[in-house]
Amino acid sequence: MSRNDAATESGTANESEASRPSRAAADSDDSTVTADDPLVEVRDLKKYYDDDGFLGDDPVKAVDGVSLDIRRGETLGLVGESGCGKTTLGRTILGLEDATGGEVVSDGRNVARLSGKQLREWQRDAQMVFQDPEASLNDRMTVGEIVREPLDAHDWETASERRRRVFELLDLVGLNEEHYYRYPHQFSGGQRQRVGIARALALEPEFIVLDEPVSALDVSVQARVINLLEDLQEELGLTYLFIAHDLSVVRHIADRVAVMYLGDIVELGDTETVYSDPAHPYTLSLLSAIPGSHTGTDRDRVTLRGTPPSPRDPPQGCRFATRCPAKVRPAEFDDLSGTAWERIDALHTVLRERAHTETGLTERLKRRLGLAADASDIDEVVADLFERDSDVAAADGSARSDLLTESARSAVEDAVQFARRGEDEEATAVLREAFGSVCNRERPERHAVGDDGRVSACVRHTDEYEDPRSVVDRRFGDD
Amino acid sequence: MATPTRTLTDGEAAPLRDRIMANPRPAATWLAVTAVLFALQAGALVEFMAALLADAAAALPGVAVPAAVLALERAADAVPTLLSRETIPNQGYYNGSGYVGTFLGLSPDLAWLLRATLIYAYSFVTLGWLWVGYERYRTHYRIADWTPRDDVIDRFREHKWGLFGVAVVAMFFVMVLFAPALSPTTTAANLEDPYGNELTYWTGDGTQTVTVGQANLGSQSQGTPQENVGPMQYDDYGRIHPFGTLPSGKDLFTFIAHGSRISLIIGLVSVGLSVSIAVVLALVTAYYKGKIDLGAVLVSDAVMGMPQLLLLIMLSVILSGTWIGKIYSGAFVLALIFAGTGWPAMWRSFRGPALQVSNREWVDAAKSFGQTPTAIMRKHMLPYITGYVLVYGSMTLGGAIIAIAGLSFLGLGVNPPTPEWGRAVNAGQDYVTTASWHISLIPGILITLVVTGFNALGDGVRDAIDPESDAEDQGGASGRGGGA
Ligand code: SF4
Repeated sequence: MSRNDAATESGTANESEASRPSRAAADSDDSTVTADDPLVEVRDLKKYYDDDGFLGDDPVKAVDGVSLDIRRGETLGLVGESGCGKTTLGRTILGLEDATGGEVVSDGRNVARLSGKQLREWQRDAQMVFQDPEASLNDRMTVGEIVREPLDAHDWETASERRRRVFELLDLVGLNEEHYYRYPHQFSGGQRQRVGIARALALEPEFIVLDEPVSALDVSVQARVINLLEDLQEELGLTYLFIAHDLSVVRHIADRVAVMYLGDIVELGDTETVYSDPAHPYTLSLLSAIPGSHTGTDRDRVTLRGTPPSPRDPPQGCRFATRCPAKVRPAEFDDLSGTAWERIDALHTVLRERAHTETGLTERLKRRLGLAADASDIDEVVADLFERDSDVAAADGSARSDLLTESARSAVEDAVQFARRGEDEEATAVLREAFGSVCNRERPERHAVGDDGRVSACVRHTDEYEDPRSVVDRRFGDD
Repeated sequence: MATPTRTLTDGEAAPLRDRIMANPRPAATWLAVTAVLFALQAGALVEFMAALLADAAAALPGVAVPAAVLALERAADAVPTLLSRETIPNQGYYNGSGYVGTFLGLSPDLAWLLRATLIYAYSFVTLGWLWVGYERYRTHYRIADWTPRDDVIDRFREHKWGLFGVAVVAMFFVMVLFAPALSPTTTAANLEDPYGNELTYWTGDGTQTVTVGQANLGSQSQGTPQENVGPMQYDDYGRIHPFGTLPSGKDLFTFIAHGSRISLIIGLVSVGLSVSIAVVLALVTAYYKGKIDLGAVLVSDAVMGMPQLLLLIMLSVILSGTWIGKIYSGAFVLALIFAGTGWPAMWRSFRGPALQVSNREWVDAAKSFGQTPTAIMRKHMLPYITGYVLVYGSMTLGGAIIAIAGLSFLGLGVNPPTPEWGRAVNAGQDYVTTASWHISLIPGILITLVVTGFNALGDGVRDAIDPESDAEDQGGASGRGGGA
């Protein structure tokens, strides 16, 4: 197939075979990759899962409006907590998942809408290396068969050419010829991942999505696989999308890094600047979670609280608002302590969770009939949060603390009133109304940060608000 | 650098033929012994094939059996076979001083026993030799020094109950394959055309010749000690009956040996068909999921909702007069009905494992480089459900055998004169408490044994492929057996 194309385009097949690596090599030699040469352009990409639609539940918004460019020859790191949609993003870019909306453009093709022959061509050009080499290799096939399969699927040359190619690939990833007839079971994790890499390279792709390729491996093996990937990139002029939750690995391998939270990219920029001077509050808290990371001032206490909200119902406004350490607070509550805010946020999270988890059929019926259960639950939560705090109780000796100011307490009381009746939706709204801010109302736009093309999606990058970093320093830095 | 790599790769990837050429001894000795073993019994194998072919030809409506097939059948009889009725005959007569016509002048019972023992010994030696062949391949010619199947085979070899199943099933297959040679007499002479054949016997003061039909009248098992020929007894005409006789005086062993063919063929056809439907459906529904899966659930529920027994009775009555109802004395229709009603249960059994495999990451990986759906199903999913296919296939085969016997017992199954085990049980049911207890009891025990054997085989395979599973799920087999 490619032979014919090549013949019509450039006269001989040989010429085209040779042209790809040389062009790629030229790209990688030239270390300053030009910004306006994207290999893959992702525009407002959405992927919703609507699996159990019987109850009319909201779809899971795994990827929700992602835009980014992947430049020819670069390694773009994609980091975020598990469940943030980074793997889905990678799979949707490859066309393994049907996009719900938006587009993925490469060489003028909208990959997300391809089918038939063009889709197969894209599947040749773009490959994936999977996270778990144990699960991604069919253990009833020999390594040779596994690496050969893409070649067979695309009718690559002749049978003996394919076999020769497989030996070449095994050699390329550091395996021996005798490994051809062994089964995945007989290999160590690192060797298996090499097999997975050899398979991904079989069809001479330009672009490879590496989905946490080393996170299932021993630390000692990780470095070697990473080095292999770097060597291959240099040798073959590959473009990588490197998905990982291990931030230090990404710092090592990636040219640029995209930080993903709950289906969207919150910060995107050159790896070194993002790591040394994170702009977005989420990146900031993520990086401060790395033990021994020295990313500037002392921010030990900026740990990520709780878990991300369900992607079935992401918060309105900023996705990160429920956990953000730099969240904009309304001026009238300026006098609340950091602890108080922490507790209020915790209450907010509890109410949100109540509002969204108890949507079983019987629970809904109960609510319809006004038979709200769990009234006592919420009282206990409130007591735990605001009344039984040992520090506060010790300070003034009374059970009822002055952790909250008068107006804050009345807002909390209002919300709890609703929650007692099982109207968690309303309770959440009350809290949001009282303690919410611009962060809860507007989905922040991307703002350019610094002068190297970095972007970050946080309202605090506008002149109107204080810079996230100094806010975090002020709130958490000096205790 | 390129050249040595090339020669090495070519050497590594050499086809089996070249690998054997490089080290011919183990293969050559194995092949030589195999050839001898095969030559000894070639006639019996050819006979079996020819009989199948003739049956198939006879099954076609309105067409006489082609002359070529008949010629083949005759030719098959002419192929010299070591362990046959001709070389070790047991049919002879006493002439006052010794036996005439039996092997080495042995008494008929000893001659028959010798032949049957030799046939079984031969069969097990051959099976053992096939195993030796596999081991030789594994040690001398296979490039991979280990494959995942090795573990399965090793686990199966440790499984006593599964090995028992293999032994029983093997004995059953030997009976099917060598039915003519095992039987003390032939179906043609004893069951189908008794009045067209004659025999000579010793009356006490001389020899006389009667038709087999007449002799059968004198060898009936009717429940009284006077009128009964039990297991390993001679009748008044000097004939040995290893399992005794039927109430009609015909030889029960011959009846059972040939009946095993019918049981197995119905079983294989019905299980083969329903397994094929179920496997294809399981792969497709597991791969595409969603609406296709839902549709298959609905259809299979509808089919499972139909009362199988009622359907069998109705269809066999309706179709009994038509050409399709006559194929193989009605056995073919039975097989079709079993297959048509049996696939949903089978599909249900395969669906879970198939869904599980379809969610494995290597299926995703195959999709990511553009492998076609059919190739994904074949290469990445099918190998993971073949184990279940063996398990449920073998258990359902046992179920089918019991079901056919049950139907014949009710008078619905396979029509006379084609022998069928269930009919023997039926024929003997009035004599269970009498001297002629053997008529029902022996086929009954054999049915139980064969079905148990198939189930044991299934159990063994299941434990071998999935050592962790200790589920007591017997699949559709037991339900099937009980239903009919
Ligand atoms: S917009 Fe508000 S909540 Fe979101 S990251 Fe910025 S400060 Fe935090």
